[in-house]
This record gives sequence, structure tokens and C-alpha cells, in this order.
Amino acid sequence: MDRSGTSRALGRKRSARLLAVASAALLAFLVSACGGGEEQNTVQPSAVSQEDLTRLPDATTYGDLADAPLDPGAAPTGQVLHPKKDLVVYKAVNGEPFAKLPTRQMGSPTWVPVIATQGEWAQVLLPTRPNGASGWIHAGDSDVESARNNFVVNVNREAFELEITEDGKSLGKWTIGIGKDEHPTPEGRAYIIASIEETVNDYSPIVLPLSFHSDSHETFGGGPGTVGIHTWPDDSFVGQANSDGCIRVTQEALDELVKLPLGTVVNIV
Amino acid sequence: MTGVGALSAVLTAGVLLAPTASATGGENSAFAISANGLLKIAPTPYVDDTNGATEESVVRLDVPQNLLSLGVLNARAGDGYAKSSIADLRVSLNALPDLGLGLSQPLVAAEAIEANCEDGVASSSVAGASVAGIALDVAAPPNTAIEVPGLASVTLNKQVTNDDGSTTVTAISIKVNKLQSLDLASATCTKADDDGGKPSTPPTTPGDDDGDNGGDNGDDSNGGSGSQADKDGMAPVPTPVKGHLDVTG
Repeated sequence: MDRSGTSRALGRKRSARLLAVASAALLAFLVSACGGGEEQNTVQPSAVSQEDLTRLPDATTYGDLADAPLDPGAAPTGQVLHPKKDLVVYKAVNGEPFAKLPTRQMGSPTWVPVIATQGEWAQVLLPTRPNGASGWIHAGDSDVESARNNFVVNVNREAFELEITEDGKSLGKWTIGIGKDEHPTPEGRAYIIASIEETVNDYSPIVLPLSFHSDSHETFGGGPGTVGIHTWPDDSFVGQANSDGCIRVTQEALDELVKLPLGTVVNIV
Repeated sequence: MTGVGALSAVLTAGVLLAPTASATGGENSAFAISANGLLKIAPTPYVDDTNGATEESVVRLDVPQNLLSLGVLNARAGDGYAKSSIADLRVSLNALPDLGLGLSQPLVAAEAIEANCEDGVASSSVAGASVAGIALDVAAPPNTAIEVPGLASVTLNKQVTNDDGSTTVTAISIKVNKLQSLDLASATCTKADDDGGKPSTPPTTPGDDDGDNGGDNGDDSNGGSGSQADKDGMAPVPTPVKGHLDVTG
């Protein structure tokens, strides 16, 4: 990150805020004077008034951001970001704001995987519906904590197999259970959004909710249909498609999965 | 915002069906809407941290359509934080003749209302909001009073310190003719626990048994422990946080 660029950025951001007129339209944004071309690195976020910020929905597993750009499938960057404060999420670099990313997800610190960067901007995956929702955040040092994450989880539904890799090397493979035909485990690039020491449901001591949601369950139990990774009281699931969409794993596999950083990508094919 | 991924609560004017806020009383709690008087709405969705981190969303309140319409109600709470929000709310109580409102404008209209409480510090904000046609400040100072003469008294960003030391913020609190009260977006929180709800045996990184949770053992706000990279710039091993979320089994 370019620290000097960040301070310049903040100065301009403040100025822009002072000038910003509270607009009734969420879509309104200011065009940065230095946008485009070779100066993309210094493109600053458009000013968002507090009123517009209030209007932006939170990006959590309970959210539904129908207008979010979908994961374009670019190669993973191995970078994860934690917002230090609620961050505005834009449709593109300096584009239209459409959500805010809170600092927590179900009590855990928010960490999101970065799938593309442009200067100080990062395209990140979001924990909301629809599956594959993404957005751009301004990732200056004052806004985010950045870290490397070399772990990836690969789930092969046809083979009932889950594999953890680090730097592309396999750390282990386990046989799993997946969603039944009428409530399939959704396909795509998800990520681990939180680590929950479950206090109500007793089928698994720890539940790892993913960013993805069931396509067939609008809601499930009292939740929004979040797909999770967890274990199960018996082995009836191993090698079976009999869950309501979740990925059921053995305790041995869960013991390794809970060590993975939040924001770890889970590729489901 | 559609109904996808959210829940609905069934309430009827004058009938209290949902659990009340006083049921258990976690230290940190939040609700989006509550009404008492001729129109009764139990705090909805009501969450507290009795079971750890909790969040709920509601897209429908079955009160008669001519009294209230809304987009979505959200509430979440956990150790040292609480937040609630409302999108696209319109409350018009003209259909309750005993209130004697007869307003040409909605009693309350707002595009968005938020209340936020973080480690004992409260704030609230509104967008496109009005009471009886009077536009409301986006972020009013704490306990800003507005009188609608002969009709209603309104408190914006109402902040109260409770007996247990917790703080409650209510974005908009309205009283009408001593017959009706309405609280919109409320959040109650304490300071976060020092241990941040850490488990007794923190997990270790695969292939790395130094047991160091990223050098981040504090109860730093805005996400608790595990919100910093370790000394090598690697993402931290997460600390499981007590909570409840019904995933798809």
C-alpha cells in the first residue's frame, strides 16, 4: 500500500465530504478529479454523506444484495482484508455505493477474500445473497487490515471429498456429506465468514458458516439459509447426499478446518 | 429488497404475540421496532447475547397495512455491541381514531433508521426521515427533543444509561397524546468483556504449533480478537465466538 497516497486520499476525501450535498438519491456520487488512465492508483472513493451511508444495507449473511457484481472468477490473490470500520462497498472502482461491510460477521471479525485489486481498491467477495456477490472497497491502510492467506479448501461434491491445501499443497483429504438432490450444496467460490461456537444447536460444537446460501431454502430454522461446514453426531452422512445443503464433515476434518483463517476460499465443484 | 433470505413475524394490532424484551435480558440487545398503547408491537426482531452473537432480519409485520409498512428490519447483538436498522418505514396511525391524529402526513416516514452501540458508545442516524411531515436531522445530538404541538413529543438519538451500566440508544422515540409510544431502532450494549469470549483452548495453525493467535490477544473493538495479521503478515487463526446461527444442517 502507498501510505503517502493514502494520506493524500484522506485529505481529498474530507474536502469532498465538506462539499458534498446530502442527496436524496443513493446513486449520486462525485467523480474524482484524478480518475482514470495512469493515475488509477490514486482514484479516491466518492464521498458518501452520512445520510447515504445510513441508507446502505449491511453486507452480512442476512443480507440480499441483488445488484452486487458477481464473482468474475479471477485467479485468487491469496490476500484477505479485515475492515477496521464499516466500509462502503462500491459496484466498481469509484462506482456506485450499494452496501456497507461491517467489522463483524456473527461476532467474528470480518475477513473477506480479495479477488482483484486496482491501486488501493480491492474487489472482495461478500457474505450476502446472491451467491458469488462481490464488491469493491477502498483498502487504504487506515481502512483495512491486510493479511496473506495461503489456505484453500476444495470441495468435490461428486466425489464427496473435501481437501485443505496450503500454497497448493494438499494438507489432507476427507470424505464428507453434502446436500440432498432437492436441497443441493451450491456450486462456486465461497469463503468462511465466521467461526461460531454454537450455543443452541448441538449437532456440532463449532459451525463454520460460508458466504453461500441455499438456492432452495429461502430460510432455514431461524436463519437465512446460510450454507455451513460442520460435523454431525453420527457417521450417517459420510459419502452421502442427505443434508439440507450444508457440508458435513468428520470431527477429524473439522479439527483442521477450524484452524483456517476467516476469509479462506472454499471452492465447491 | 425482497423476502428472500429473511424472516417474517406475525403481529396483529392490539395483540402481543412475540416474546417480550424483558424475557431474559442479555447485556447486549437490539430491536428495530416496538410500540405500546393502542397499537402494540413487541420489540421486533428482538435479539440479545444470551446465546452469544445473534442476528435476525424481518421483512413483514402483519399489522394492518393502513397502519404501517416497511422494507426490512434488522437487529444484531453480541459481546459489547448491538445494532438495529429499519429500511423504508411508514407509520400512519390515522386509522386509530382514539389517537385523534388525523394527519395529512404519515406519523413517521423514513428511508433508513439506524441505532448503533459499540463497547458502551452509542450513536444513531436517519435518512429521509420525518415525523408528521417535519424533516429529521440525519445525525441529531443525543436526546434531541422535537415537539409537534398538541400531538407528539419526539426524542431523536435518545440515550439512556441503565442501572447495570449498559447504554441504550433509540434512534427515534415518539409519544403521542399519552396514548401511544413508538420506539424505532434501539440498541443496548456494555463494554466488551476483557477475554473477548476466547475459548479455553485456542486452535493452532495447521503445520504451525506455536499457538500464537496472530499476536492479537486483546479485546480490540470492531471485531474482537483475531482481527490483525500475525507478525509475518499471515491471516490469524480464528477464535470461535459463542453464538447461534441456523445453517442448512
